[in-house]
Amino acid sequence: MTFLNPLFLLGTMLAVVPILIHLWFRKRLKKIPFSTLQFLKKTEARRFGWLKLREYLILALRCLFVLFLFLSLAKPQLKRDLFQIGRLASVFLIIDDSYSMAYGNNLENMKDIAQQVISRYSSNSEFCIAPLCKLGADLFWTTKTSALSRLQKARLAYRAGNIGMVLAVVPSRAPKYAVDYVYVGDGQSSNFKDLPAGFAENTELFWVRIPTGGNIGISNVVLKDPVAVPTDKYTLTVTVSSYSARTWSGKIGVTGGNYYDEKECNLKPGAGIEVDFFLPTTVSTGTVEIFEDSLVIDNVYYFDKYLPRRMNVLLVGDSPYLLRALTAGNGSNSPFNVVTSADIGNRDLRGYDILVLDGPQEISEVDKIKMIDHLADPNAALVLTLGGEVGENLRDFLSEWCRVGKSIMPRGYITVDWIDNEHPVFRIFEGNGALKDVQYFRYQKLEAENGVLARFAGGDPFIIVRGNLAVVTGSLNAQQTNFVYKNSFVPIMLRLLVSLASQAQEKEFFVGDRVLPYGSIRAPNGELLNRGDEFTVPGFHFINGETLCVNVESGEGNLKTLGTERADVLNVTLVDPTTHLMGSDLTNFFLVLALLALVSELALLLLR
Amino acid sequence: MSTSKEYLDPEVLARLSRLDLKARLVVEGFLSGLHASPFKGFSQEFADYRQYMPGDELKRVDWKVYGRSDRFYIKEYQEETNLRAYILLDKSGSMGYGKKLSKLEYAKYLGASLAYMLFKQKDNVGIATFDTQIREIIPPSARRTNFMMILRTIADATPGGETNVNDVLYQLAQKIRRRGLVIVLSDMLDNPADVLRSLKSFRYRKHEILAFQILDTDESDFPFGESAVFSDLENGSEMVVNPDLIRDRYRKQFEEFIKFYNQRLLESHIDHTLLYTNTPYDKALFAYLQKRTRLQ
Repeated sequence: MTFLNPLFLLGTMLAVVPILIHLWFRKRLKKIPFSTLQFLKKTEARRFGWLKLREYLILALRCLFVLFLFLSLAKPQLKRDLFQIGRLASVFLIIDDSYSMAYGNNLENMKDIAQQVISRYSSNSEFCIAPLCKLGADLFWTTKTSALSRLQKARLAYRAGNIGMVLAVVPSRAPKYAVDYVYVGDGQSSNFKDLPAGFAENTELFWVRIPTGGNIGISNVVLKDPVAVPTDKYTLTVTVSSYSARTWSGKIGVTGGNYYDEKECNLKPGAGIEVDFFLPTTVSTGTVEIFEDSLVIDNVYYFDKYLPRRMNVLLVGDSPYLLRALTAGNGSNSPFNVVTSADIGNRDLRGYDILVLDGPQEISEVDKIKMIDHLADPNAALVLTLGGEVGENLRDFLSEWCRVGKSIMPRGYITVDWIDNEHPVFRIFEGNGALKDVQYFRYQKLEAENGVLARFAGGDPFIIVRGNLAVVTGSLNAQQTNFVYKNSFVPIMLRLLVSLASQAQEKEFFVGDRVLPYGSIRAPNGELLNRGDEFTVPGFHFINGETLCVNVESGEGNLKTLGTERADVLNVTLVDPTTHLMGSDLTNFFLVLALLALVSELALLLLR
Repeated sequence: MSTSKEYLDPEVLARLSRLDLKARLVVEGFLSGLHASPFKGFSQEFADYRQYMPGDELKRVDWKVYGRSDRFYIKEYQEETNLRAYILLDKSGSMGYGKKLSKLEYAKYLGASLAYMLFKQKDNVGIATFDTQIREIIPPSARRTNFMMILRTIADATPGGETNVNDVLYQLAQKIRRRGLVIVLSDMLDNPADVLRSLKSFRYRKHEILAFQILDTDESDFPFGESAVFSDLENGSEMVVNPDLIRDRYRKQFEEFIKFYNQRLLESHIDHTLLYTNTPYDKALFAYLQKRTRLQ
């Protein structure tokens, strides 16, 4: 046993004071020589033994009180194998400032415990304080006092962390002594990802465990059907995930403008659930909030969704079927303002969101340049349907995205036998139902490896999507296909156009993401973020009247902590602060003993 | 001016230093108060003449009267016996207790007085002192030298050691073979049943017993006030006591102790006289004379 304040041990000598006082009082009592004590003993027969015992017990308790009190003041420490007191080492201390440390009082607990770890080392040891989530921070070896100061400055980061990435940063100079790697935190399993190669084989990592609780987080907020044809309402799907070891029941609410709705839901440990909210299309920005959860950091999700708006379409070509499809809904209800034309001519394409070229065999050089310029606008789109032979300029235009082959006329007809059901355009259809029994008598062979949404039976692409360009390799003319008569024709074409024109810039981010290069952003805490900076706090951020949503990436909780088996593999030694650190500090133990002695003495004094 | 009666008061007597003087003063003081009493005097005191009768010893004939009157007369004296008396003086530690006059001092003066009285009566008197064992023993004799030795033995007695009345009296009962009067001067602060058994052993040997139980009023009244450490004069053990809390129970215990001796000694035909250290000596001497009369 060692003592942090050994000078107080001198005070233990005062334990003899009660004995001296006892003897002094005893001496002060008048002594009466008497002929015999036999009658006194008989009189006190029953009580004499007890009174004598009581007297000595009180005396002993008084001595113990003083002894325990001074032992407690001396701060006794029980020696353990881990973190032996006074050890000289270079201590690489990783402190967990990830958002799961917002649980209860965990961040402050972490600081206290890290402080205890630091205090155990010799004053000549050196320390490197590495916050788990403050990536890119300068790491350097410093003194014990400075390390304690840096520790107190640690703030919560609204993101998860990674020990591997922390270890990848090398401190400014080489350590003086053998390095002790210590991580103080709740040990989310994600924190242990990406440890440097060979680290586990060569190095023992001490994990001083801070117990954490369960967590329910909003893992995703999306439009249920992002390419749905716009109406007056849309569906927002909120995915809530449990990272808790206990079943959770609570409410989820969505607020946006004047809209508010909430729903009850139950979650089993580790489960996830999707909850749909029906919002008016006038509301695209708002918050989703979870109620009744202990770790509140990830309980609010800020969203700003791009909702498809009414679009101007220039239809170049003579397909009446496509025109009918784009103008479905009797004009005012149609999401599209369609203008038809025989050619692009001298039209300014900037006035159109979508350009549809139906069955062109060739385009002019000017048209080609206009088309390329049109595609440069992420909010614009181009749909090209091919039917006959492809001319030089058109071939040249397409060659940017794919190799152009010959025009194919199969014997009889060819069917479409594969579609990408995961693509938003086809997600609402079941199986191959969207293009079932679609037959083509002629199509243009294109070769593309990516972005193929549908293929013919032979494997040649039928629909290719690259960014905001869509190419349909067959004509939408009834002479070449029966597709135009299918029920799925109109919805597929509408959804294809909406999806192409919905390539708006992302407006939702997570803490830790880097700011995109478009000027200064004001964070909710007043901080100005510039290009290359990281988002550090969640909430609505503002830039030139625009809103950016920054959220905390959910995924931490007591269900996600590092298991013992994996800890063995990673050579992580679990240190329980209650036994290896706090438990070994016997200060409180002796203080309790002192109080017990005092209370027992008072009880005995009252007991006659 | 003090009279001889004053010396019956133990406190007054204690002021004198010489034991023989004390004994004489006590006895004389006592005797001076006996004018109206039925006790007529000692064995050397002349009582009456009577005519010689055949069978009377010739040495008892008063030849002076014969010379004057030519008749044989026998000179008669009162209290004419050959009593053998044994004074057993307890000098154990507990006898040392007493504020103005210790129980042992009281017993010593009383013992000396009784010895003096016996000596004057030409009775054989001896003494034994004891605590845990017999310390000194002087066989009974009527000679003056013996009496002086007795006085010296009494004077030298100092309190010490634990009481072992039971064993010691039993041993004495074994030693004293010839019948006589056994005068016990003790506080008898031992196991009453054991003490009783040992006194009875004298009775088995046909001794007459006169037990003077000498106590201090503190022992019966327990008049102490504040809490104090009481230490046993015999074995030195100590005990912290609050007298106010236990006085009533103590007195009850003590009364039972005295009552036991009163009843059980009476049943065993043993004369028991309770004396406190402030009790005038005439009470004890009177008790002795009563016993002496009965023995005649």
